[in-house]
Amino acid sequence: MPRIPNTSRQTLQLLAALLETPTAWRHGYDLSKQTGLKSGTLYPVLMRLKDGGLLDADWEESDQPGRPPRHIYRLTPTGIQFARKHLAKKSVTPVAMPLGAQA
Amino acid sequence: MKELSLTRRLADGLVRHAGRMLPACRREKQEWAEAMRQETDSISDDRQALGWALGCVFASYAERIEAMNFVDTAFVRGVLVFFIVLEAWSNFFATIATISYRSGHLGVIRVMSGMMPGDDYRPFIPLMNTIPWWDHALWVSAALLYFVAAALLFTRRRAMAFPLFTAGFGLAIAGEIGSWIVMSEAGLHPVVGRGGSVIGRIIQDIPEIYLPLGIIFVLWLIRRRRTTPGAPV
Repeated sequence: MPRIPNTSRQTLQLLAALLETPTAWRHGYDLSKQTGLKSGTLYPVLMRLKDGGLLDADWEESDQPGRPPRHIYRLTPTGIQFARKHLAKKSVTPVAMPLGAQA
Repeated sequence: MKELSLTRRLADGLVRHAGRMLPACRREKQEWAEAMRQETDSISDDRQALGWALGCVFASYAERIEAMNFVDTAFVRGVLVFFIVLEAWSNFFATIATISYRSGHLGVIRVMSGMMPGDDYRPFIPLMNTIPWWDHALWVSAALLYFVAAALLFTRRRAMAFPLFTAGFGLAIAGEIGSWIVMSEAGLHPVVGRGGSVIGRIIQDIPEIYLPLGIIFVLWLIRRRRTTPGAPV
């Protein structure tokens, strides 16, 4: 498993959002709306969390016929522990940041 | 069948491009490419879908650049170490010259004259008599931090090189500002040759300002690479 070192503010924001409902599967776009992270930031973070074994990803069949399945995400048990440990150190909220507040 | 708008078609094309641009070394490349595409497809608003797709392109290029690993290589680290040692030497220079002059070991400072403007140390005698030791202490501390940062680049803890070098640069700048204040108060500015054109000043400042800033940027890239969750190390 790759080393899991420090975490960026964006990663912590995403972890906080996922930790709100740790057992629920979430869509990328919903996570983006909740955290304010754009897809350009969100996907690299999701990829790294998954590479590190902190995130589960699966496909969800659409309830609308003819629509393709969507990727869904939730924290693994290791990810939940990791998120709790790191979020306890810093006060991070998963809410969207005001425009221009993101790095 | 409803015809897709130009914006939607553009979003679709961009997100497909993003999928192709994901680096081959990325595990489950196809899965992420498909995830991006389906997520874009699920966004009902065309303009939002376009924004999402543009972000996906950005993410893919960022991943591709990350996968190239061109900053955290032995070659780049070697070049960095060379420039960091040069910087450390330039921070030691004034202190060694001053110690040599004040202790009467003029042989050393004559050798160093070859690296001074005009190949002559004598115009700098007023400076060496004026600049206080605390200023030298700042430069020497900066140089020592630089050496530690350079040494760390050979270890697995190379991410630490960034804060150490940055702290060293802060000390060096504080030393520069201190010396400027002291020189201004003593009316010694002309002897350091700070006059001249703007271009001349910019060229003159390269070793002191731009080179360390360049080093800091590359060290930051190395640190970023090594402190991102899941990044290869």
